[in-house]
Amino acid sequence: MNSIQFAAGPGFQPPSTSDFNLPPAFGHSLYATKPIFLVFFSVILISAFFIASSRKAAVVPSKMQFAGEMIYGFVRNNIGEEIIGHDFMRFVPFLFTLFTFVITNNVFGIVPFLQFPAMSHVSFPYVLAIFSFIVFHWVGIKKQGLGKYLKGIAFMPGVPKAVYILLTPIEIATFFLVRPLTLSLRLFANMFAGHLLLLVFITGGDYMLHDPHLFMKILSPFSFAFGIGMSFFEFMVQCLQAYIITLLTALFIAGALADEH
Amino acid sequence: MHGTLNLVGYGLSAIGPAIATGMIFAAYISGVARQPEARSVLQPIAFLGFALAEALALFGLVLAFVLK
Amino acid sequence: MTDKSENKNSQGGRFGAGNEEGAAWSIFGYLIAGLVIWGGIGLGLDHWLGTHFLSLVGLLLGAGSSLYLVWLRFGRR
Repeated sequence: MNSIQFAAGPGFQPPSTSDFNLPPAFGHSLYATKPIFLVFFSVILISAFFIASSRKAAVVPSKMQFAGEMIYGFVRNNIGEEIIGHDFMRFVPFLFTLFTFVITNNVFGIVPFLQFPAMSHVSFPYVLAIFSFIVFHWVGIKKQGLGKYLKGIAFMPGVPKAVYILLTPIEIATFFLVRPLTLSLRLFANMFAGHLLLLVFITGGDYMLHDPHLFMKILSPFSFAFGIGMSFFEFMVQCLQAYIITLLTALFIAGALADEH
Repeated sequence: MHGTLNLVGYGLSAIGPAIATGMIFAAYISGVARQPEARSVLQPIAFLGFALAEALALFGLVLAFVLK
Repeated sequence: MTDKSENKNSQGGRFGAGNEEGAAWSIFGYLIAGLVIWGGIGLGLDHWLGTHFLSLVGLLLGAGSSLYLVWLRFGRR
């Protein structure tokens, strides 16, 4: 038992944040890295799939058309109509693009040979959150006018005036800082932690397989098996996070459209 | 290994609010399922209880970073 | 499609359910914002004045006022 602990002690280098800084794909260009290519590839893949599924649209759908319509119908009915309600069709293109983009890039994390979720680099979720931030504030300003919209955010009705000193900073910080930050950081943290978890089990299994002790070699398939099981768990988390970021964007839009709280 | 024991303490202290949140929403869901017309009465109570439990968890999170 | 969604709104059930899903997320946001803003103000005052108790006061103030805000938004009938 002692010798096993000694063998497992100093040798294994656990994966860390530096494993996410992939080297440039070719040359020394900082812009030609794997996440960038994966994002472009996902855009091509999504476009090709939905063009192919809707080009020969028929009353009796083919399998491909059925799959495409199922995804579209999910976003339109379960997210758009349920949350935004009246006048929701204006936002369905944005929500649908957001959902398919995020879910494709997330699922790339467990697709063999791609195996990297681009959303585990925090700048991608930031950009998505900025888009959603612009959209829901723009919608609110357009609907209610700039002054009335800001007044609705900053000043709760039916409160004594002195309390506004306490409440107004919180309201402003919630709408302009916490909402986009939590929107992006939730997606980032889930993808980052999930990828790190898979890295720990797979590299740990690899290390144990190459260990000279027979006992470690016998145990290493369990680590691999756990990694594979975690991959399925990751698939669930990836779909859930894509759903949640779309749902929250729809909720923010619905909140901006609502006249009076 | 680097890090601080504060975060271990926060992890332990987050167990309480996590159980509390689960119990609050479990009770809310079963209450609404038994008596759907009671939703408007139960909803503010459930969300205020959730807010109180969540405030404790966030308090622990902030103190874990602030305390030296 | 539009008359269907309007029908839902007039019943008031579905639209309320959508708000209910969002309530938990916005409560979380309010609590974080209250703690961070007032706790940050307290911490800044501590650094400026050289005291030690103001950041705790700020945290308590932030937690209290954000709970009050949550009550105003979601608890008031």
